[in-house]
Amino acid sequence: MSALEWLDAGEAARLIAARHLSPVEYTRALLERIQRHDGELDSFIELRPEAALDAARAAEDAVMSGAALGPLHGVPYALKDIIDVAGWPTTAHSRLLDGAVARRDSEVAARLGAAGGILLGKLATHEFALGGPSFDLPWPPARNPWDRTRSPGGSSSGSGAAVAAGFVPVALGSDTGGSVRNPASMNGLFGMKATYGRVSRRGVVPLSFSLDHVGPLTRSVADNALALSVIAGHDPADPGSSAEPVPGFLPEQPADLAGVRIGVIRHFHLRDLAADAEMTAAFEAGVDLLATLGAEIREIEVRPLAEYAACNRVILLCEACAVHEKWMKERPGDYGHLLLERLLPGLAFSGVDYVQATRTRARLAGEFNSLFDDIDAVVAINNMEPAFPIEDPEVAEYHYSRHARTPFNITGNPALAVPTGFSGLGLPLSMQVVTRLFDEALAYRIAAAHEAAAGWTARHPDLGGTGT
Amino acid sequence: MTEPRGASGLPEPIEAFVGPDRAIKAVDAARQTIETMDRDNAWYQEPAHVFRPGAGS
Repeated sequence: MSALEWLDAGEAARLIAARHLSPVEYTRALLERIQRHDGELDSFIELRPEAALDAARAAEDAVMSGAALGPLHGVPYALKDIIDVAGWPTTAHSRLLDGAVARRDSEVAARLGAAGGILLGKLATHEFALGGPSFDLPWPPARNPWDRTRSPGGSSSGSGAAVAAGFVPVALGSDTGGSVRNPASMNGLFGMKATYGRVSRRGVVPLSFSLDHVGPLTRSVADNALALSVIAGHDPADPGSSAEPVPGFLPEQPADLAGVRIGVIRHFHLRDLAADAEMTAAFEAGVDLLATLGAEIREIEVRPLAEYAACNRVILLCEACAVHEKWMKERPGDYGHLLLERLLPGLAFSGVDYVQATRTRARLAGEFNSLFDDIDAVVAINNMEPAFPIEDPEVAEYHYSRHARTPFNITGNPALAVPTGFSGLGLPLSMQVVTRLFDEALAYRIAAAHEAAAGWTARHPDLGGTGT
Repeated sequence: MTEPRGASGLPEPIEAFVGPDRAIKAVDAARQTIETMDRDNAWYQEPAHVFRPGAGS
């Protein structure tokens, strides 16, 4: 058995069901690890050890009584603190929501609970999933477990830090312009932004209604597919939810990639923006590995990144300002400096700008999806650089838009962050695998083959100290 | 009737809070974004999401 902190969720669930692992011991071990190390990472906003241990005891009782068990039975998880859980505060890492307690579970929290998961706590986020990293909020920003002086990415900052640190095997984040895939990139994780509408957003604090996605961050492909299989599915209470059937997401065994046609987008990081040399080299190594595994590789070109980014920014900020307009006028002093700074341009766009952006979006999405007449998947770089120093606001602002993620929020396609190795400083590197609408299974198949061959995910950050 | 706007074009209470420099910087950022976005849509191009009767509350 792996050390408990690095146990996969799927493996843990199998061990628990076979009575080889106690949910109570597992939960207690992770709680102790969090209590020992999170003071230096600040990934959790709220931790409820007693509630988690009570749930773990109930999970153990269910195992011993022979009850039917869900796919995450007895497995700890945590949620970005924009996701409602009945009886818990949802802060969105903002003083604006101070004292707000959720009356009912979000759909994703309800599904994780029904699958037997044990909620340990709520995780740090950039304020309202947009403004950060910030040092002027009621809670400090999460830090990167690979190097505590660096950002863990965002906006699902605590989700990335907590999974990479071995605090939980699964955490949920949200992705409106890349906020699952960014912390996945900076923490050496798999992070899935599934097809728009695949996962319900009911009970999740909105940033931008037509771009928001909820998705899992995990240390393995199998866990990511498992988590998505639990949270995916139609929800009539989410107007954006799709009724598309939910298939099995992961093949039984990592297969080779014979016959898979993969289009490689290089101009995102060679022409539109310039990625650093290590990120580029790791990307090329990743592409070479996919070819070695049997994929047919061909270079493709799409619109420049700036066109997707501009379209994303207009839609995102207009919709975000619709949510925040009243607070911005009545309580501007309760916002962190950075969130207000990022929201302000949204008030300068016109109604015509917004409608044009939504028309442009439809056109960009149509163009992009027509590529899949000739290929099965796309790979593109994720961030242009690895994790950056967190304390310097100018450095943080420089890196804020240096990525290639917004195209897939615009098009709505599945986009999975996949680790591609480490920089000379030991910082994680990443690429994205993108597939047809609702074909998350192929993204996982490609990522699983790469994961098995590359072996990057066997490496973990050293938090210091001994034991769990 | 439209709401009162400050000199920058942002709503008055917000401009008063952030000050003219931050307001103008935000308006400039919006302008740059708009200049980058390809808005050359055909006249019949529909938005990505159109009104769906019965959706939502």
